Amino acid sequence: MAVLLERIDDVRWLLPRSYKASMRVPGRIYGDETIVAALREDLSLEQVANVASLPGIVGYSLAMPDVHQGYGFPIGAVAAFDTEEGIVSPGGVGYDISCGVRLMVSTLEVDDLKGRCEDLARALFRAVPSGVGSRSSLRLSGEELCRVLEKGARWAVDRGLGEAADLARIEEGGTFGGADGGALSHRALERGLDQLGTLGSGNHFIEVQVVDAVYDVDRAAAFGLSPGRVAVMIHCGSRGLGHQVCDDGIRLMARMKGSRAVAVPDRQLCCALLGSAEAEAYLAAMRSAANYALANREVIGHQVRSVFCAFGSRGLNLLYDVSHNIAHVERHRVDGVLRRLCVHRKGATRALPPGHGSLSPELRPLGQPVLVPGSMGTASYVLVGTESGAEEAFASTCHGAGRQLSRQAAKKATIGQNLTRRLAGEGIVVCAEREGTLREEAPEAYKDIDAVVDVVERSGISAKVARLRPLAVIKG
Amino acid sequence: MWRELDRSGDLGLLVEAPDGESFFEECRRALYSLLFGSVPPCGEGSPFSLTLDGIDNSDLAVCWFNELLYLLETGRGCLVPNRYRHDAGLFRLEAEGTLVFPPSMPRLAVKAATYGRLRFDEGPPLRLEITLDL
Repeated sequence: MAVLLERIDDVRWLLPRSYKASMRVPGRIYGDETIVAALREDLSLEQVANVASLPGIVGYSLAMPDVHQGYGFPIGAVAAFDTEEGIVSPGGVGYDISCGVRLMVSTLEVDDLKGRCEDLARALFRAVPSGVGSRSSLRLSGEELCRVLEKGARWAVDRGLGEAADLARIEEGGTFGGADGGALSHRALERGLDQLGTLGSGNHFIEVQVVDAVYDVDRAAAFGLSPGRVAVMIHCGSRGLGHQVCDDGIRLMARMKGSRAVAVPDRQLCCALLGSAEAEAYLAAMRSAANYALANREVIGHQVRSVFCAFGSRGLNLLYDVSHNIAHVERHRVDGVLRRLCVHRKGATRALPPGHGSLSPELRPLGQPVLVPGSMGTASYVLVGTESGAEEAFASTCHGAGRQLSRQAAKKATIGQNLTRRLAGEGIVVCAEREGTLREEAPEAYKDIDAVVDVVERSGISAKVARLRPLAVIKG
Repeated sequence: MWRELDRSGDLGLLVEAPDGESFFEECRRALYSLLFGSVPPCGEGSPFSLTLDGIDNSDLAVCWFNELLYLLETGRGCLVPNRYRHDAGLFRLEAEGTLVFPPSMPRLAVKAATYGRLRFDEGPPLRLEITLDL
């Protein structure tokens, strides 16, 4: 693989256009030597090249340091497409549309939870439905579901299931514009009726954390992150509704014929030209699913707030809520020219720099908080967007540690281990439906989060603000 | 015949069968085995029939898995067909049978069948490699 990649500097690598005749732009990979060496193990680089071959792609096909093989697009991909000549691809967003992370900061210090962490974890586990087949206590009518799809987190606030102050701390003010519930299939709507306010399973989690390192004292203080402060991170998405929207979009685009069809090297990359009826329908449905995800995290946040209040926290302040599976139409400067682009981030996080007009007035001078969860049992980070990230990476950065072992390999690597007991030995309480899920999600299944974050900081595409370590993990 | 394939965060399946009808039945058995272990869905149920159209036979297999997942997630149940009809030229599958209650809660949250790393050999025997999203 070293032959294919040209090293630009310590943390940037070029996949040249000569790698594949169909490539319209080169690929750029962010990573250190260890991360790049690991790319030999899967098809990530091939997928970076395939994305670089799609019509209307601008600049580079980017891979963040947490990149690993996905469906069509790799996970950890950023690709921007010209809105006049480019495409939108459901596979470039992913199945779990607007899967994302929020971080809420409590008024508790870590000592306030001494001897009570297990009780807190159990209370959270009871309060938030999680696991396979979990159902919400909310029963939405079809009409109300359509309001969720149009209003996102704002719907939850209006229903008393969230706080108005949260909206300034959620991307797009809590509502993605251009949503249309009418663009969703009956199946997608049906799958969304009883899952709002549920965590789901797999790698989704609620994690109680404590701030254990601060790198940017001023920003950390402005974000309410002081050493010893307890916070809670929530990672989940749009549940079955989002999956159905992705599936419907792929089915529609894979069936397009004639001049509307876009030739792709992998059916999972199927796409539609921006401006076409198919692209517009998908974008309207995708934004609706994204609103469902924002509402889902707001409702879960509300449930988590109640539990924290019972444990003595005077509220939970939302630091930020951001998606890492989404396509946004944004303006970016490319070679000195301001262009309107459809930026796909699949397993990548938007990271707006200080001064950006899309940030709320309170965050504008600071820049956008970027939330990067680690694997279960390892640290998570709060980063901030930078000007150089906006210039060279369409204001994007990594989204997590990124998988390095398959589920089966992770199970093998932890054979005979009781993860709950092992993590308890490290001072981390775990509540989960199944021990099997825990072993699939064991820390060794993921890349070293410190190395991933180190790469994005050294490359300058985002900057460290604080690190948090886990106290308790709730998994589906 | 079916077996699980090693995939990163997902679930890979290899399914092989001598003809179309037994191939789709083997796909169904594989999925339910992964979800429910050794206890197959069976018992009294309500009559159900469906027709699926693909753009080719690999697409038809993806549609079949997604149909079974949809029926399960929306609480309709597990499909136990007593008749299949596969038109390999038209890429069409018809199945008739009953919908029964699942034997237990699924052990895995399989969300969707994907086209990622999809391989299909028309055979004989028909051979499919498919990745299911978790």
